[in-house]
Amino acid sequence: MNHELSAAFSAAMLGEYGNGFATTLYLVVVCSLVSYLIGVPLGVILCVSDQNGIHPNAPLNRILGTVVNIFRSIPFAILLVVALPFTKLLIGTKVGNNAFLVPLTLSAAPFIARMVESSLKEVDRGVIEATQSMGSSNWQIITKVLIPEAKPSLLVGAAISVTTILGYTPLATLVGGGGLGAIAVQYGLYRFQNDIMYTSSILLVILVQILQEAGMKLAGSVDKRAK
Amino acid sequence: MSEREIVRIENMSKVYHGAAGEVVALKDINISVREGEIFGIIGLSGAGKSTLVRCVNYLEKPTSGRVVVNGSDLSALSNRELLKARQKIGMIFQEFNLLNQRNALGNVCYPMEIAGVPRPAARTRAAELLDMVGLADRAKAYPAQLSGGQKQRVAIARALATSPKVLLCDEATSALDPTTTQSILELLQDINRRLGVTILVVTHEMRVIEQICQRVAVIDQSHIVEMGDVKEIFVHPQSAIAKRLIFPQGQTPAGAPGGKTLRIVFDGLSAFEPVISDMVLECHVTVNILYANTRAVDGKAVGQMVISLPGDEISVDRIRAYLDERKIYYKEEPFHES
Amino acid sequence: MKKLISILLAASLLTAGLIGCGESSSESKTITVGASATPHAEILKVAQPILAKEGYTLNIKTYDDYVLPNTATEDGDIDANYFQHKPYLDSFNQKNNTHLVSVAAIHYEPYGIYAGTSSSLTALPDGSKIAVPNDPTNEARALQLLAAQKLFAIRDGAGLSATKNDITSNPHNYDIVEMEAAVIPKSLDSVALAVINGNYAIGAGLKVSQALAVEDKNSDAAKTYANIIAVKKGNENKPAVQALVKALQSQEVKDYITKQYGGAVVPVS
Repeated sequence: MNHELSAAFSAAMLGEYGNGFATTLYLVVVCSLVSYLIGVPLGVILCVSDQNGIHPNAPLNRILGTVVNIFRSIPFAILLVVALPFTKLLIGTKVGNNAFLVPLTLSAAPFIARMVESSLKEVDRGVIEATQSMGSSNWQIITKVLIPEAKPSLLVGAAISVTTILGYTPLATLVGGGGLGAIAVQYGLYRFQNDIMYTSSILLVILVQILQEAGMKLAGSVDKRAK
Repeated sequence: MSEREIVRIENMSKVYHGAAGEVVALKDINISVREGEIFGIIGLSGAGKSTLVRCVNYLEKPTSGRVVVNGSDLSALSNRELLKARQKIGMIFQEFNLLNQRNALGNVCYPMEIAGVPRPAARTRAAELLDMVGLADRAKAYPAQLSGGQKQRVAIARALATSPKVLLCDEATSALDPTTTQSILELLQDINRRLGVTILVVTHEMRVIEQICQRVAVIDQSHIVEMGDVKEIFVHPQSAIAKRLIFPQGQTPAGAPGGKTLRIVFDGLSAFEPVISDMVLECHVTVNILYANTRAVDGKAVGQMVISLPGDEISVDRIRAYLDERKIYYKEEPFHES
Repeated sequence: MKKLISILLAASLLTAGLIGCGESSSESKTITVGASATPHAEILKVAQPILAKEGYTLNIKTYDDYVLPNTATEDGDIDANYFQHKPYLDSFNQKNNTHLVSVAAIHYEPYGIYAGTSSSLTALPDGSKIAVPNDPTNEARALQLLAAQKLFAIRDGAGLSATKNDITSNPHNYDIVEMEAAVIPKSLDSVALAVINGNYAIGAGLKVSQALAVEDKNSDAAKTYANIIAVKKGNENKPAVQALVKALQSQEVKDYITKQYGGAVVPVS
């Protein structure tokens, strides 16, 4: 037991935790940014083309919605394997952290699209109608009304999305990637080194909590609807 | 008020095709609004008033007929031209519909941003408008921090930002208490007088029409059933719906069995003439006031009163003579259920 | 023995076999054996008619993971299992306080070094990536195989739990990529070399004969990593168990294994 404890906190492991933390952060930040880059326009289109949206387009809405649903329902591990050729095309290799980012982003972007769509749909229809009566174009409504009015909800959605992405980072070990989760699984779980498993898991949990709290606080502070 | 027509609605109909079949929201609507007037549209809920006012700025597209605003036939406009045309038609709503994530100043700036007005100019004008509606000190407040009346004021300032010629009011006071309603109506009258903005008022409350409108169209089940001067319609309502809107609801004049009631209409008389008490003293009669709904507007008495008449004809004659002499309009009604 | 895909992967990547309660009456003529799908369950199928001739009914239960068959054997839900090698069994017993014993070794699945982007063991560029499985025994086995080819040196005594942290000298600075065993065969275009076990190689369409180097039949590795029949302590001498072992070690089964798996599975002689 003592041997395990010292193993958990040996100089080598501490270095690993440091690397793992940095890698996890890298994975989360890059994936979140790219997923939002893809997910926000998707979410906007889904909201706007809905039958109650400002520019209904049933065929587009149905097709896009189906594609998003398909990606959301494929189990992550299968998505990872199926996407390997695409990963190779995009990144040039199937192994490593960047290779892991490809299926991670493919999985996160549709999730974020739905969250964005849901947030935008919450904006009061009366408010949208009022801005239409003032001669707003659809683009102006999207950029000056929908997104700003949905800001608090979008931030809450971001907190949820980022922590969800974080929760998937341990799977990086499937393709030889790193991060706190990979350490927890590979050294902790597989090698029955419980202390390493708990230590890296706790660090991961702490990271999740920090991000979640920060996100919710930010959402609350920018919401002007609170008196 | 000039004679120039600023809004003309010609043979307009609006039909919805839904899952339940066809719903006729409006049929054969013909309305002409003169520049500078305050025109009312009244009807019960579901009569079609909201649809009608939304056809004036094409938030709803008519199924047939024409809508001409400021000389432009809205159906002939391209999408871009329509957006530009809307900048000259302001609109305020029952639920205010302010942008919650912008403060009052930001809300008033919004239409100007849409129209491409540079920021500094927009902010200056926005401040002026907020001052005009009496909210200069609340420019930085967010809608969540404002009362209903204040929100509607901001909405009015916002609607006037691009100097529209026409202002549409969709049940603008229906969510406000009577006192606040009063102040908003006074503000609208003020704007009409000072800026010459033509106002279309949509409501289900007669007292709103009475107070500020010059002419009114009465809508019942998608048709216009009566249209004309407010005074005229108020005094001589023809259609059943107009009568229903004008006469008190749920009040059963409990007159003497077989007795008559008299409806007296106050139309701009000085409020300082105590008509009824003078009449009672001079004519040596006793009357029961069954219903009274009078208000002082601009120092004049506006409204109506229903009194039960005494049984004998002589007293009734005296009353008639007294009222005729003072040119007070009255109408005898048989005892009627509401 | 193949090592686990992560718990998260298991349910989705492999078709789940039904896990239920099995019959396990020790004196009856029925014997229930838990096994991995390939090749273990397939080999058992060949043994079924042999056992039937002796009057035994063999029930085969397939498992996707490497924990449940052991716990089921410990709990008596099944009579025996056939999916692991002895080092894994010993480690499992130690960590989980179980009392399972090996009855006999049946086959081993040789590890091979397969070509990725490079097909030479000697002319590898410095810094090349070499893929190994990331779970304990398999990674150790892979590293030992690579060390035997003199690609790098491993600390003495690192043994069966060697990780890349136990590499003592790596003059060419090869980058050892620890990843999921099942994904390695699909990533051959992204690494210079890959260590894959026989069964996964076959599944990926590779031939064992294509391997650049393979564990020798008489090597320690072969002996140590032979797949065994395991039962709960005390059941080793049950007639049904003995009959099972006899059937699996018969020539008929040996011939089947040799013919069927093209070198990826090798019967222990």
